Amino acid sequence: MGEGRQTRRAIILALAAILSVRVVVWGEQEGHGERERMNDSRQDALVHQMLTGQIPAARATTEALGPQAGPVLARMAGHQNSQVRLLVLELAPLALSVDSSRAVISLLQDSNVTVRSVASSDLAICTQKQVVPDLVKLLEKKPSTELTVALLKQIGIAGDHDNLKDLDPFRNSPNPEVVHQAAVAMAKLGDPAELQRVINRLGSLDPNTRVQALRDCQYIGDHGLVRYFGPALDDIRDFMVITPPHMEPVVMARICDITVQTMAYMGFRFSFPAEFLARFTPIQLEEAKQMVASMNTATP
Amino acid sequence: MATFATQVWNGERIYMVGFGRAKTGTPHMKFPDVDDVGFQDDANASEHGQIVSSVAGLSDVFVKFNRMEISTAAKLYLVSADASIAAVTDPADGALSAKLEQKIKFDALKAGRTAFEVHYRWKDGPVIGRLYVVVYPRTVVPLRLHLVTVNGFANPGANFFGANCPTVASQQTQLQKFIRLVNHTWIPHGILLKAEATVYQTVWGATQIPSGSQSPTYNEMVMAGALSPNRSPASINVYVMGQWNFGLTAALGIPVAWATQQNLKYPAVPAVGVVQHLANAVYLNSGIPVAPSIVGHEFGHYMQLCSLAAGGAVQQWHSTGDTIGGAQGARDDLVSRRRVMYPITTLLPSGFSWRTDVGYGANVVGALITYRRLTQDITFEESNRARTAATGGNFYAV
Repeated sequence: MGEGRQTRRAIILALAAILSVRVVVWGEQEGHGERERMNDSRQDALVHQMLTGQIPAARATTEALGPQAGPVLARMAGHQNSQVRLLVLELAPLALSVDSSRAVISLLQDSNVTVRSVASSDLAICTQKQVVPDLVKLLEKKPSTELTVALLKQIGIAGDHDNLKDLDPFRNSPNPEVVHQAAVAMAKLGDPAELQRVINRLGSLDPNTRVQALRDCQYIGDHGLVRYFGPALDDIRDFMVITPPHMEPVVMARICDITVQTMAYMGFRFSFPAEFLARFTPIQLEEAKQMVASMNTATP
Repeated sequence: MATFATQVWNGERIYMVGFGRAKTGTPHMKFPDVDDVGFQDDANASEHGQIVSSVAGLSDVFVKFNRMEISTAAKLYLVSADASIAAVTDPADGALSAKLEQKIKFDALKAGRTAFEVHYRWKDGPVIGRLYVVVYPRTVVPLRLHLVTVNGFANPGANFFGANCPTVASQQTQLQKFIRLVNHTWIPHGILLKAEATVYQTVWGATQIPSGSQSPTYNEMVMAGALSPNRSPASINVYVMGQWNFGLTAALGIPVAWATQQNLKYPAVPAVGVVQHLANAVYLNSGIPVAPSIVGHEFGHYMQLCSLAAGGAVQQWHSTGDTIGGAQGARDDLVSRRRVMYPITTLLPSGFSWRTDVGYGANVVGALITYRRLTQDITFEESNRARTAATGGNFYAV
């Protein structure tokens, strides 16, 4: 094979390679465009379904779109018809995204009481860091106590250490619910003093204080807190009825039972199902105690 | 002729007139039950009288007027203290008849609180009794109805709440009708349970009930309710299934507060930070025939009747106040037995017909939802407490 021929072949191969890359890129662009067109078409369909109250179809379209449904929901949150706004809240948990969260936040102070109420429970989906400023901004408007507590709770979930300064002023609120939620949200975001207060409350002899501290630990989610569960696991005082209505005999859960369930919800795995409240057996309680004892007892 | 039957002793207060429900039998939104549990209301300390309510915009509402301790010969007039809130339309001129009892009719016009005052002799004569009238704004509570097939077991066609509903379409129609009947209990309190037009055919399979059971335990059912396909975060989900295996209970209303307190929450995907679903819902067993008032009772539970104590523990499940830590007790007076939150299970075993009919039919729980606050009894003020729950931020859940 002559040199010139080889050179020509190399040039042809290089051109072919370049062309094939271009074809692939063009193909990808075409696929991308196809998807965009499909999403645009689905978004249009979603708007139509929402305006015509086709709830099952709107749910299906939202699930297909995923986060891409967010911009539609954000736009429709401003619709004058309260049924449409309610539908935004129905669909937002199916399309977790910053836009969906903003749609929910925009409806927290809606003029319609049902919309407000549902928006408040949908707040649980607002877990993105990007929406924390929106939550803080709403707090500054001094909303109702109930909404203030819900916002503080969600900032604790979605925020980070930088948000401690936003929460701190609420520790001076005249409302004890607000003070408590601000404190545990700060503990969740890593405030050492508030974390220590939760640990102190775990040791309280008052049953309500101790159980509330267990619930706070579940919210905070710090596994290190379980080191301090020992006294609660030894607390065999009855605390609350766990039988559903209309069922006999009435069964009470003890503080130690609530402690085991709290551990299960914090991610600890037992040899028995512990997610449902029950009067756990001495052997089961012992398993939990051993788990706690095996943990490092150093302060977090 | 004097018709006084009670002697006056020292400081005994005599109420010469009274008010009551204007019909017997099943509840009806235009015939609300009247709170006649004494005359004290600690939430309105200066008021002494019976209390009734309706919803703004409802006309032709009836209550019964009684001459309890005053002669039929006495001329009496019924006048609304604020006719812009509630206006008496019959008798149109306010003049009450010379009968011991008569139906009166009014229109509920706008949200507010007023009183129908009974004046002696003249329209502006001395007031000898009052019926306090609360007109609530309408609060819509959206419902999502599910006909649930549990691991292949569908709702029975031959005995769907006691009716023959062989097709899915007939079951859907029956369910919608059932909810309309339940509304007769709650609309006088301003709460409209509004079911979506679509009744969902919801399937619970291995994801929701991994044991494969067709007759779920309580724990299996609530987990399935939380993880159910078609579950709405913007409505009360009403799950209707053909059977379950935790006794003869026909219905359960689990509010957000109870589900939260019991940690009945489940992640859609087992990972930290993922949104969790709560098991709050109304669960109905279509295999057991029940009256709409029983389902009304369950919606009462959903609206946090009966109450949760400050520490989060359930204080009591029924409006009897004496179920803490032991077998369920029950008050046995006729007023308690008229209350919708009275436990039907204690009503049923009575072998005495005079005890089992409190104006709603034999063995049928009444529809009375109390208004007045009595500091000594935490089970009262149900109307206001239910409304507070229904309009608050912890009523629905993702």
